[in-house]
Amino acid sequence: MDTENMYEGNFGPNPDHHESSTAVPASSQKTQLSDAMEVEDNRSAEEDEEDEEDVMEDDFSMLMRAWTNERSAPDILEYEGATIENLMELVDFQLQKMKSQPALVANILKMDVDRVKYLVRSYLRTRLSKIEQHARHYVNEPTYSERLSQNELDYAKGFIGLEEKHVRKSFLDQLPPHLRTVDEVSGEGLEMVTKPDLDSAVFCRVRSTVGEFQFEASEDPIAMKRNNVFITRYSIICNLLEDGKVELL
Amino acid sequence: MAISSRQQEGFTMPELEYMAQCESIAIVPLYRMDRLELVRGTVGPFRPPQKTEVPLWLAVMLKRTNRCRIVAPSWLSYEHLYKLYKREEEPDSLFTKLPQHYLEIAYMLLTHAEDDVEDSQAIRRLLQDLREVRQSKTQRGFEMLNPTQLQMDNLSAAEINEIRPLFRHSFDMLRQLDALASAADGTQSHQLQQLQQYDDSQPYSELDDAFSPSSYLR
Repeated sequence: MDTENMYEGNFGPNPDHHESSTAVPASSQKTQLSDAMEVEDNRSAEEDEEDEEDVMEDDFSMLMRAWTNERSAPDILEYEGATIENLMELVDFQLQKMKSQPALVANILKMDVDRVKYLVRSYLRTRLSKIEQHARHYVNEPTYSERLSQNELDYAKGFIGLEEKHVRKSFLDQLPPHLRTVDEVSGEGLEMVTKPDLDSAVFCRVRSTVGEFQFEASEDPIAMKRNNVFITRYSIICNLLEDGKVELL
Repeated sequence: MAISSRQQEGFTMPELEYMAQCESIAIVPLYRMDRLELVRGTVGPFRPPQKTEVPLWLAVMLKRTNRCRIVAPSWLSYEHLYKLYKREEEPDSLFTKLPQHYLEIAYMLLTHAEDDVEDSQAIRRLLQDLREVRQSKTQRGFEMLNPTQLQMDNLSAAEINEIRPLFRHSFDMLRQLDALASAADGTQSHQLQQLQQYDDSQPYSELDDAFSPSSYLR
């Protein structure tokens, strides 16, 4: 993103004016249009919108976004397998190329490659930590098990096996037989298998304008424009997240 | 544990810096160098004194080995930040627009390339002031927290990360209280219906309602 262009709007002629953002309803924004700076801002906002559609996201940015989303979302998201594969291929290619380069260039390339590797690692670790938290739930629910890679699925199953073996050995086998299950569902809807809390709070930013969006049936819809930031329940925006219309922060 | 408990709560400072380092910034190279093919694409060629755009991490790396001068972004100037600060200070003003990673970028530039930032001392102070005004604003925003949504545009990544634990847990707590309150309302009206339907003398079991304030008042 070209930061200089993006923020030039702030150098307007009228220092007293808040051009800043938020809850200005569309109608009142129009009434302020006499202000020269507002006009400029609007222009740059439109440009932003165009930029966004033109720019093809590279694999690194995609993984970066997947990583931040994964870190903030309460449940596990779709695995970015293709992106990681592409990036790792690129990394191998860069490592090959590095050998024939002078020291300074090789150094830069090495640092670049290390940064990519770091991101991939952190992304995978984030997912593993989520899998460890709710392994049984993710394996049992088809919607979630589809989101895991084969390796992750094996890991989750292995983890469940180990955990079960451990609790059986340490105390479960000493209990009366009818108390020995690990995935019981009681009559009142209490389950032994833990689930992620899909209603937990997340911060999200709108990537492409959604328009009027109903956060809750009982409340008035709210305009979701590009770059708006909200704190809201994950369950409300998780569909928008899947469509890539919002990103988590 | 695959990641630390701190990381589960949000991002750590080094991670935020890592993100900020991916933003691009203009530099003036001091040596000639051919274009570099990085994973994210090509940068350069480096032909002094022509400006060129590179990722921030590369700019800092080159700067530390004295191979370039960093061109401070236009928002990192005394004049601009002062304007923002004045606007930010006005009562009932909203958050002003700053780059997503302005604190981290400013920090890195002021640490590694202080000589390339004009009025660096004044800017440092101003950034601190700006940050404090914004912090007090987020604190006031906290009062408006409700269990559905709260809009807070133009908060930067570091600022969001800072308020995340408090806001998230309060949000979740409000939500739970809300659920309890509506459940209590539900049982109360349910009770009323029952009372109307059946004879008043019919004893009603306290176990029937999961949570109702009346059962605590008796």
